[in-house]
Amino acid sequence: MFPSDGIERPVGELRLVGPLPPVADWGLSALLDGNPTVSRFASIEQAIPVPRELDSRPDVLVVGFRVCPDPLGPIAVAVRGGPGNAGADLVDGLEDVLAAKGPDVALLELDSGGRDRLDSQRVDSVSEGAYIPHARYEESVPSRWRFLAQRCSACAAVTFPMRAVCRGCGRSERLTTIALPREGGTIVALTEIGRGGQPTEFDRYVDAVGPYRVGLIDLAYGVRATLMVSDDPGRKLRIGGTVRTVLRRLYPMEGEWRYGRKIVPMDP
Amino acid sequence: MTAESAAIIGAGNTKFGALPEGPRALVGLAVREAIASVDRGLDRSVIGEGFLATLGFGGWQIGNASAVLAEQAGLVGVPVTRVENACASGGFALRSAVRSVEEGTSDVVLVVGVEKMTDSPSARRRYWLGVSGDTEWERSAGLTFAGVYGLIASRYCADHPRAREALSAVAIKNHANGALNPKAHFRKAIRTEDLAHAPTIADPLRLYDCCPVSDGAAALLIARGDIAHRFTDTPVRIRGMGAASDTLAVQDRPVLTEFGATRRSARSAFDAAGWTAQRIQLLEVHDCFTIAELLALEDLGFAPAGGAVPLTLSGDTARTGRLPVNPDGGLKSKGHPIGATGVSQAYEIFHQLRDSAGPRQVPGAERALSHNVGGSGASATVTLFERG
Repeated sequence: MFPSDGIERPVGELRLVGPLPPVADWGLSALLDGNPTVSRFASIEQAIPVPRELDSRPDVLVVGFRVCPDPLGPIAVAVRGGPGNAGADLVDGLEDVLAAKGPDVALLELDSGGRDRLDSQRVDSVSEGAYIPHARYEESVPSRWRFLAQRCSACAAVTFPMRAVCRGCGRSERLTTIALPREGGTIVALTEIGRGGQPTEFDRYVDAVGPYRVGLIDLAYGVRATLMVSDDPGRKLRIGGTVRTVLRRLYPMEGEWRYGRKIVPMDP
Repeated sequence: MTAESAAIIGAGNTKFGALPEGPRALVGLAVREAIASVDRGLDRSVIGEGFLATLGFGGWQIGNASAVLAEQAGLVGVPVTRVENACASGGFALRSAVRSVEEGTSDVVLVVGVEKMTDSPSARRRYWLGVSGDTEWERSAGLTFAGVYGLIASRYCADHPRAREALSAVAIKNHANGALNPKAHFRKAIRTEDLAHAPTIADPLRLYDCCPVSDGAAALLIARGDIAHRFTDTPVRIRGMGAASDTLAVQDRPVLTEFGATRRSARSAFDAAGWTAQRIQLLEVHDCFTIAELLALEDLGFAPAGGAVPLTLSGDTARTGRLPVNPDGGLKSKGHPIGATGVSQAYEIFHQLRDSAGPRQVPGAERALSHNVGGSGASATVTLFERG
């Protein structure tokens, strides 16, 4: 589902509880048709691995949609809650993604209870966070969402996240964009942040979900990434373990949700 | 560097801890003590330049903070500069002062480090504790400094047997030293049981693995080496300095459990002095977290990879051991007012090498090293001192 080499591989399994409603009923068409960045809405062809918290809930449905033929192109993912908030949850998730230019993937995380608690608060009410303006966040989206990196043909070093110069030789004129693998990374280091030790912009996450873990993983080509752990309530991940990454909500800032990749266990 | 390069002729240090004074008052206290400590007295007119090390925690006077130094030290008119390299601000300010007297533009230069941390509300404090790491990528993964050091410690513990025991030994040792230091934030010895039951801050680091949030200031008077004896018979010579940088984010470094900036700084400092690590008899290292003291011992050349574990567990690094490390209690127990720390390390060495460190005196030390780290290793300084 997250190919780095152009080959599609199905990952995980879509759990359908009851018949899948017609797309129109999800409120997707109107949303996507009006957005020029979504060129072709193909069909519901890709499932995404269902987070454990959602897996056990028969009234929650998680669906992935590929919205253009490019294998590295955007994927929209929707979480549908129980009968009471069907369309609303979906639209909520997609709006977040499409509001930022260059949509890729959004997946609403947490159990619906936790998510409701998060959503019920104003996203712009966070103060005391490290200030990253929307423009700088948007600039980081190709690396943050799609794991795009730069290979330098002068020294062969791979730079991630993308920046103006090669981290190997400091040159800037021979960089080409590549995609890092989004699965198969190895955990180099792993910590759990005690309650109250989180940066302030994660306060509401901790209130809703509890203490979280953060890992440093080896991706490929000497590239490492520091990412939050998700979907591992049993704390089964260990140093040396293999992981994949998924796109999730990180934290709210300036009235929007910021998204980025998180580590999840390889085998759901 | 020759013995004629630069020397400390006076030093001051406020108490560290949760103090009633604000940053201005703290600067004034440290400066007055430093000037009063000059054996033959010092006329302020010989001070040709000043450097103020501060992060500006809580948002205090981010611009032009050095003017406060000029006011508080009675130096309005002389050039003053703020130096900021996070927790290594003090070490870099000391370096600027040494270069200033080496240039010959000033006979004496004043270096002050200050931070006022305890009067910020909790949320603001947590914000400021996370401003000096990689704010775009590490922070968005949910990490503050404790988290980054927690990652490093998790790897170190996975690689080296008994490492968790050694982390506790660092905390117990530094608290025992701090108990003897009247200026320390914590003057309380701790036991193994205290550590084991403390809450997790960033696994495997627990509460007692982390330095406190402290207020405080420290000041040094640096004189040209060839005139130091005008001011005192017992100056403390600066015999080597090294400073270096590294990537901001630890994910950009090939080895998580080494700080390249420390390694490069140590190499430069030892080269400048023409010394090897074997000549050092006392160390002040940057133990913002217990894991940082173990890394420092290895990066500075006192132990191979993993070797800091047996070195620490053997008691060699105790105040009475073969290689005393952080006899003042270190950041861990003395406290870590960010901008003040690197200056305060030199304050301790000034007294240790003049036999005036009181009950925590390490007898007979002739040569000492101080090591100051910015954040999670993006910058570092190493300074070598000798009795003058």
